[in-house]
Amino acid sequence: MSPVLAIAFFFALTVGWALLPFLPAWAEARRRRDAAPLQVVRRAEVDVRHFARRFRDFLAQHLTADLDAAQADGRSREGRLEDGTGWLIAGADTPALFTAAEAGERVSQRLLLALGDLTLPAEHSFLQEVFAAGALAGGPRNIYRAMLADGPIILGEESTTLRWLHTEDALVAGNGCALYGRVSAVVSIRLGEGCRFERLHAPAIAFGAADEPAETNGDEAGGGRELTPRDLPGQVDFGAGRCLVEGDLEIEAEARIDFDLVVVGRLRLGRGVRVDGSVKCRRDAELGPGVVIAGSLVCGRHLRLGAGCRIGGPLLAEGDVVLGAGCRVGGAGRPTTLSARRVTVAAGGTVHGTVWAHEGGRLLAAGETGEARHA
Amino acid sequence: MPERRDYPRAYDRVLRWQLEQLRRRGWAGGLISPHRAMLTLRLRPRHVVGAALVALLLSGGWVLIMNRVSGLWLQIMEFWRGVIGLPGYMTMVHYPVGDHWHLAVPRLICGALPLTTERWWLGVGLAAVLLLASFLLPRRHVPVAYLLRAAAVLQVWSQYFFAAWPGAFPYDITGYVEVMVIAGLFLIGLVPILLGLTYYVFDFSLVRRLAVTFLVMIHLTLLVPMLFLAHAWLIHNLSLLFMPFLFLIFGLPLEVLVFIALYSWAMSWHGDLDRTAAWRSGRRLVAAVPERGVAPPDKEDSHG
Repeated sequence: MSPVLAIAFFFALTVGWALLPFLPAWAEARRRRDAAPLQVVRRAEVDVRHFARRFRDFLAQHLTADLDAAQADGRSREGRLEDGTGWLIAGADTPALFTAAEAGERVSQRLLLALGDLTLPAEHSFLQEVFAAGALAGGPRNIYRAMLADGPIILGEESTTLRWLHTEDALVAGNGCALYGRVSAVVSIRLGEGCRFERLHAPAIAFGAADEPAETNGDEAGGGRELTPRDLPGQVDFGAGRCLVEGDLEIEAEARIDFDLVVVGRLRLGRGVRVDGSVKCRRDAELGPGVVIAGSLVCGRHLRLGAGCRIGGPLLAEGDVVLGAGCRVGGAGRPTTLSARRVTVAAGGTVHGTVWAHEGGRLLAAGETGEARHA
Repeated sequence: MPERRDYPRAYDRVLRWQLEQLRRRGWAGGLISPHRAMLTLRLRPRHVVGAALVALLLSGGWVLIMNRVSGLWLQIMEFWRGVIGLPGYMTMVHYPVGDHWHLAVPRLICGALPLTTERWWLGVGLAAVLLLASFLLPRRHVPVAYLLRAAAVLQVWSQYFFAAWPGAFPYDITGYVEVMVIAGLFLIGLVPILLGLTYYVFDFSLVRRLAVTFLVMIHLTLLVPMLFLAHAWLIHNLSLLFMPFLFLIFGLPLEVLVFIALYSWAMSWHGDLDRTAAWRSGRRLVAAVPERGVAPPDKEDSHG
């Protein structure tokens, strides 16, 4: 080999070896296989009724003729889909809802579609969707894959929904129910004591009994002295109606604040404090009873609300949220969002809009304290 | 499934587990995995301990074989030095480290040809080409253009230094190559620790962690002797004028870029996050939901 060739070979080898690790990056830059944004089905994310609508589409696509016929003559029908899944359309002739095997095992493998009201027995598992054109009432300790009703839905005690539930009316869940996935109602949702949930949506979501007495309802909040930014210890900046506070902050009871508050440390609002603005706290926050915040409340860690607090706007926490008895988030005609890792609610609370407990939420049973407790 | 009245606790436990699995079953019986935008990774103490252990073991192992690697590098450099006709010779020097150990480092004994007018103008030409190329690049390659301009500025400063103070440059090929080889030895030894801090903490299996570590270490082990022998050949033939350019552009920065390139590739490998324990156990589940083939209402959606 000539010296020139040897040198060329050596340099080609060295350069080639040095560039080899850059090949994957070069290939990605040319083909850009990983440059596309994350795929999000927009309807699924923004429309809480997405599953319900998809299910209606499914019925329209596969069972329109049978549903129309049953509607016309009032007689029940049963059959199988193309893949062998059984279905039952319950007409006005009150048919047996289960086969002998299903009744024996107390497990239903068929789609159950009722053209009117539907009442289901207790301690039964429904592994396919259940639909009722009217009201739907289930017995206690049932397990449902998914439910859809044009009328109200009443779940018996300790029932479980696995994927989704939607009603065009109101939902009432008995004590101890577990509502996994999405649960939505056009009118309202009321959960019984000890219920677990993940994602709820309704104009009014009531936790616990209808008339749970609260220690205070927040009407008297802000009756004390009005605080200015200069009254706040650690205040470092004030502008555009927002006050920034370094370190922890504690506000005396009954005080009134008419600006937005950003606290870098912990925040403690005394009993009956009123904030006519929004509050943001980077660490833990604790609100005494009867605190009123007109705007949003955002917390970087855990958040605890005393009894009877009212939050007008979104309530967001990176950690856990504990709502005391009789707390209200949002208002009638002013739906908002409560989102946190885990949510614990004492009886008597109301949220207008959406509740999203990312790792699960729970309504305390009678006699339990407001301490967060999640299985 | 046991009867509730017979085994209430077992019933509840089994039922809860089965419900947990069924929650993640789609219409067709398949597993509905969460959208990757929703996935989060938690750093648990056992991950930290595992990462630290693997990193320390591998770095410690490198220290043990470092002198053998130096011996290998000596042979590689001696072989290629002969092939490319670089004058001089290779030798091994030993630096004592404590009382019982020494660090062996291959040393290239070689001098550089003097800086002549032609070589000085060659440097000017290199700077001009770099500058010109930076302006010819398309706009989407702006980062590369700035890198070329920085390299051109660097070479211009070298030109000025060697014109203003000829003979004042304090470094030679032998010292340069030796220092770079030592730096290479320690850089490779640091690779497991760097990956321990930046890669092992993610959800990659042990096999993948070891794979990327060995990939980087083996690549650099083969690159270092070849790269700095190439530097030596260039400096020998083009004079010391080009040493700053080679050092700052194609020296340690290139080795670090190699690390980053392989690291980025390894980061694009699929981790275990999308196959968390729940999903794995779900696969083992004897599903109560039968397989179906009809268009699902909730199949396309992410869980939650």
